[in-house]
Parts: sequence; structure tokens; C-alpha cells
Amino acid sequence: MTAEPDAGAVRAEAAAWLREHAPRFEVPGSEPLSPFEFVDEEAEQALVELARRWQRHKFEHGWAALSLPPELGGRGLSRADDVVFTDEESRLRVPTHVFEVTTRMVLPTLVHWSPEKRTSIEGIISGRELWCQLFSEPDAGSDLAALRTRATREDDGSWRVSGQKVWTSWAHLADRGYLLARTGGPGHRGLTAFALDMRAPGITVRRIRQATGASTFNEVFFDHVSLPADAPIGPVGQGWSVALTTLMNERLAVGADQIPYDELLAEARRRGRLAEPAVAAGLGAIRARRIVVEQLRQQVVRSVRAGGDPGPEGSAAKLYLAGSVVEAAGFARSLVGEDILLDNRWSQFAIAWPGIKNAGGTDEIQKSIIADRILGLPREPPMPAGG
Amino acid sequence: MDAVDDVERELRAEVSRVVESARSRRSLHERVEHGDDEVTRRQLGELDVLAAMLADEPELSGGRLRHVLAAVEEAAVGLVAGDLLPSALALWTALQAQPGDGPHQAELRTLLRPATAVAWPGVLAGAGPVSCPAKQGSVSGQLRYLPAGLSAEQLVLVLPDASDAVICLVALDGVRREPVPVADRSRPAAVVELASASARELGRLRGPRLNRLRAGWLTAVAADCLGGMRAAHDAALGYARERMAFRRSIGSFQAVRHRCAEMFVDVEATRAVVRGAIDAIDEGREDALVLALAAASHAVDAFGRVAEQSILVHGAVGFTYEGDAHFFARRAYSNAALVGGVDRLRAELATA
Repeated sequence: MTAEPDAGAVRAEAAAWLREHAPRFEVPGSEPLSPFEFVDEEAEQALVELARRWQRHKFEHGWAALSLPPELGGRGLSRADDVVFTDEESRLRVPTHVFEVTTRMVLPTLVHWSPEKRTSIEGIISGRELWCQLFSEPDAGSDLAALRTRATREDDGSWRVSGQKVWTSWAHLADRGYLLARTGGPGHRGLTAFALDMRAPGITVRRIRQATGASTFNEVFFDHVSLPADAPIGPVGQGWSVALTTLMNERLAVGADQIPYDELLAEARRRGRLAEPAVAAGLGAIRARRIVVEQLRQQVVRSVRAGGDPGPEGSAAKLYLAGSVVEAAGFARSLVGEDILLDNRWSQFAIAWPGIKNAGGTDEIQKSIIADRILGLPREPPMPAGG
Repeated sequence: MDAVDDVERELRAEVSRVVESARSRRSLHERVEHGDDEVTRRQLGELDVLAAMLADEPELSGGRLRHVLAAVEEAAVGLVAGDLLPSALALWTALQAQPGDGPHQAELRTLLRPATAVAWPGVLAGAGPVSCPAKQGSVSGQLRYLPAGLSAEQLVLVLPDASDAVICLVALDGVRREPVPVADRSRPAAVVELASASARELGRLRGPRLNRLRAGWLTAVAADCLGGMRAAHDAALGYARERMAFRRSIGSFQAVRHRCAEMFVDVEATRAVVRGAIDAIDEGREDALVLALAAASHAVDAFGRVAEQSILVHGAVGFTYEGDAHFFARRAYSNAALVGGVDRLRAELATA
């Protein structure tokens, strides 16, 4: 194994490389206030192209997958170094958002459970493959293990998939899909994860319009879609364990860039309102929240470097970020006053908070997980057995 | 705790033991009512926490904030040693005023025992106005709320002077002082009248070094909040597990579980931001004051909330004097007032 370089050295090297290389891939125009700001078709296509090229550029310069082993195209560094690189990258306006599910959720899952899928792994880190994650269904959100999309094995070893997924981000743009489907009995034991081609016959993607007017996620319908015999990710019947790996990585995905402090400060200045005590205090509160999220991430980096998994601060971070986004949205409304009456980036930001708050799971589920696994509080009486 | 050095780990463990020992003998309200007992005072004396700051071994690099504040945090868990925070700040401030080894190290030992008070008009509430007339080696003024002011023999005073600050050591023997009837009785304080009290200048600070000093003071209060909120949270968890209603533990009801989970988020967030501020100060980084403002404004706000939630989890008992939960709220509200209030810190942070 390669020797671990000093943590500060990786950060410094990354920052220097990014400073030099990122500018020509930065997104023109003003920074979106949230991931759910309205973007027209043409602009979205351009963004995806730019995102692919940026990913490719990182790949060509050895910055695409720091923690992957060298034989898979990485540098054999720690997961903590991935987080460090992502932190430095998030200070710049490069278009990574559309690839986040691909690189931060799908990639670690494939590497852990199906490292033999080398074409896909290389496809991801080189920007050739954009993935979507097909988990939630209309009747299976918080209660994911109740999902019903079914994959049946044919005589020749291939699979037939029928069912429906919902809230699938980027499905309308994705090359590949990471599907969680039922291959066995009810509950979490009967699930298998699959990799699939989003252009396969029988897959229909329908855009969902979000409250902000944007459309970043979709319904995806599977009508007897055929998957090859080698489609499963991890062992058949182990889909829940595979999914847990993915969901664990979500805790590393919480970032301070969801709190648009700089934009709010600039807006307060532009409107000449910084001298107002309530505005200054409100801004300071949001800046403090941003700093707290950054520090929680630092703690996650320390935990991952020391022991491999994020510690309890990972669970706290997601809830804390959710609350911060709501507060920032409320502050924005008080800041822009009448301008909220119009359809603009501020009124969209004002209504974008549910998308960020609920992404990756509701606060209620997160709190119950904390109560069970971290605080060791007595369990709620069991739910009656259901379908 | 990760990336914690051995000195810090040991200090935390030792102060924790003192707190556990104090808890085993008396309830919180008894400790607050009567102050630390003989056993606790002796144990803390033996620990000699602050002396660790003056050790000569190079690796201890005397005066590292992280060690001092680890002890402050652990003491706050039991609301013991109310004079530890001011004494720790006094010593750390004196070290910042006169960095490096030297003969004054011996003199600094006089700050260790008994307690030393601290005051900084404009930064901590209750101090000022204070003046140093004609640089005659004396100070005059009134300190309306001086923690450790009753027992302290000396006061480390930080006095703004144009764009500098002068750090003086003021002798408190012979000054007029009286106990203040405080809301948070776990931190006794005095009102002190300085009438040409003799003062010796320890040093002057300006610019980044002065910012760093203030960052340390703010972060110290944040560390105190962190200890207190950990205790308030743990008390709530304990009560939630034991208290029964409707034939089951109240900790099995979702509303109570979720309240406890929200407190957990407050504690972890505070832990992370206080750690970040301490690291920045100890490493002499430029962003130390920004981090300290974030840490202090977050901590005083979160501590209030956690203390309040803890009171609520305790039901009606939470509103009784002997129920103990309110003592954490008193400490929380006092800390918030001590640093001038959340809004003032936030307003400064907005553009710092």
C-alpha cells in the first residue's frame, strides 16, 4: 500500500492544482442559490457537457479518484482525502453537482461490491458515464425496504425488470442506472442491486416538475426491461447491504456550499442593508451555520482518517444542514422584501428548501436513527406487520 | 475524541473523575448551594490543572489553549470549579502578553493559586469603565460582575487603549469587594471597586495578536457551554430512559426521542466548531477570530436550547429547584450575557 502523505499536504496540493486548472471550467453567470433553481433545456445540456469535460480533466491529471487503488485509476489515498479534495473543489464554481450521485454514491458502491465492473468504474471517473440512483418508489420512500419493483431471473440467466421508481435525480440525462429491486421475498432480505443501461428498451423517463419550477428528478417506469446476467451489483439477495453502503456515503456528502452565505452577504450590501442590526445578526447567524457545517465535515475527515467511517458527527451534519437551509431561506425573504413577489432566483430559493431538507431522507427518519443507534434510547413499540 | 493529544486526554479524564466524585457525594443543587466541598477543592488542587500550562517540557509548549479549555469544558459538565474559567483565561492571557520562557514564568505561578480573576471591558460583560490615569501604575473603576472576584488575589485586566490593548496585573488585596447575588450560583461573582489599585503592565497586544487573544476568550466561554450542554443532554437521556408513562419508558415515545436527537445535533455541532476554533487559535491561523465568533455565538445559543429542552424532557420535575435541570439554563443564559449576547457576536461575524 502507498504510504499516507500528510493530510495538510494533500489539501495544499489539491488547492494549488484547482486554482490553476478550474477557472476554465467554471460556470458562467451567477452562482445558483440552490440545486433547484430553474435552468432551461439548453443551459442544462451545456452544463452537463461542461461537467463531463471537467470530470475528464480531473481524470487525466490524476485527481478523479484519490481513494481508489492505482489499478482502478486512483492514487490509493484515504477516503478522507476524497472529502478534502471535494471541500477544496466546492470553493470554486465548477459544475460538479450533476455528477455528485455518480461519483459520491455510485462509485464507492461499485468499488466495494463489484470491483469487477471496471468499465463502469473507469467510465465514472473519466466522465463518460453519468448515473442515476433508482431507489425510492411511490409507496416506498422512508420505508425503502417495502419497494416493489421486481427483477425476475430468466432461464438464460438474464433478468426482466418491471416496476416504477420516483424522485430519481438526473434520470433524464443519465447513461446508466443503479437499481434496487426485489428478487426474493418481502422486506429487506429479498432485494438485489443492479447496474443497467438507461437507454435499454422498456425504460420510460417522465420529468417531475418541482415547486421551484425546475425539473431535476423524474419518475422512471420499467416495462419488462431486459438486463444481462452480469447486471447485479454485489451478490443476489444482498441488495440491502449494498444500499446501506451507498447511504453511508451520503453522510460524507453534506457540504457547506448549500448555504449561500456569500450571495446573501453580497445582496445585503447591494441593498445597503448591512448596517441594520437585524440584518447583520441574521447574516452572522447564517455564516456561523456555514462554519459549523465546515467544521462538522472536518470532524468527519478526522474520523474517516482514523477509523474508516464517519462518527456520530456525520448523522448530526445532515440534520444541521437541513435546519440551516430553512433558516437561510427565511432570511433571504426578509432581506429581499417585495422582490419575493416576482418569479426570480430569490423566490425560487425561498421555496427550494424542502428539496434540500428531504433529499436523502426526512428529518424524522434521521432523528429516529440517531435515537436508536447513537443515543441508545428504548425503541418505539414495533409497527404491526405489513405488506 | 480524535486527534486529541495525550495531555488533553489525561486532563479530561482527571477532571472528569473529580466531577464524578463530586456527583457521588452531593446532588447538583447541593453543590451549587454550598459551593465545591473540601474534597473537590483538594482534588482540583492536586490536579493543578493550570500548572500544566507552565510545564517546561517542550512538547507541552506551555500555554496551549486546547489543554486549558479541555479542563474548563469537563468542569462545566459538573458545574464545578466556577473559578476555573477566569483563572485559566488569566494565565493564558498573561502568557500571550509575555510569550517565551523567562524569569517571569515563576511570577506567573502566582496566578495559579488561589483563583485569579479576569476582566476585559467591551469583551466580557460586567467590566468597566476602567481607566489607568496618567500611567501611574494604578487603575480605577468598577467591575460590576467579576467571577472569582471574591476569592481572587489578583486580576488580569485587558484594557483597550487606542488600537492596542494593555494587559495589566492588578492586586486585589485591600480593594472593596462584595458578593453579587448571581443568577448562576455555580459561578460566584463579586462587585469590585478599584480605587487606584496598584497595577503592573504585563504587555501590550495589537492587530492579529490582539484578535487572537479575544478569540481565546470567546472560545473559552464556548468550551464552558459545551461542557454544560453535554451534561444537560445526558441528564435528559437518563431521565427519558427511566421515567415511565403509559406503561413504558418515555424515551420510547417518538416526540421525546426526537427531542433528544435534536439536542444531540446541537452538542455535536458545538463540539465540532469549538474544536475548529481551538485549532485555529493554537495554530495561530488568520481565521481564528472568525471561528471563535462562530463558536461562541453558536455555543451560547445552542446551550440555551439544550438546557431548555432538557428541562422539558424532565416534565414538571424540570421546573423544580431541586430537579437540577434549571441550573444548566442559568449557566447558559449567563454565558450568553457574559459575551454580550448572540446578536452582537453574529453582527460582528457577518462581515469579519
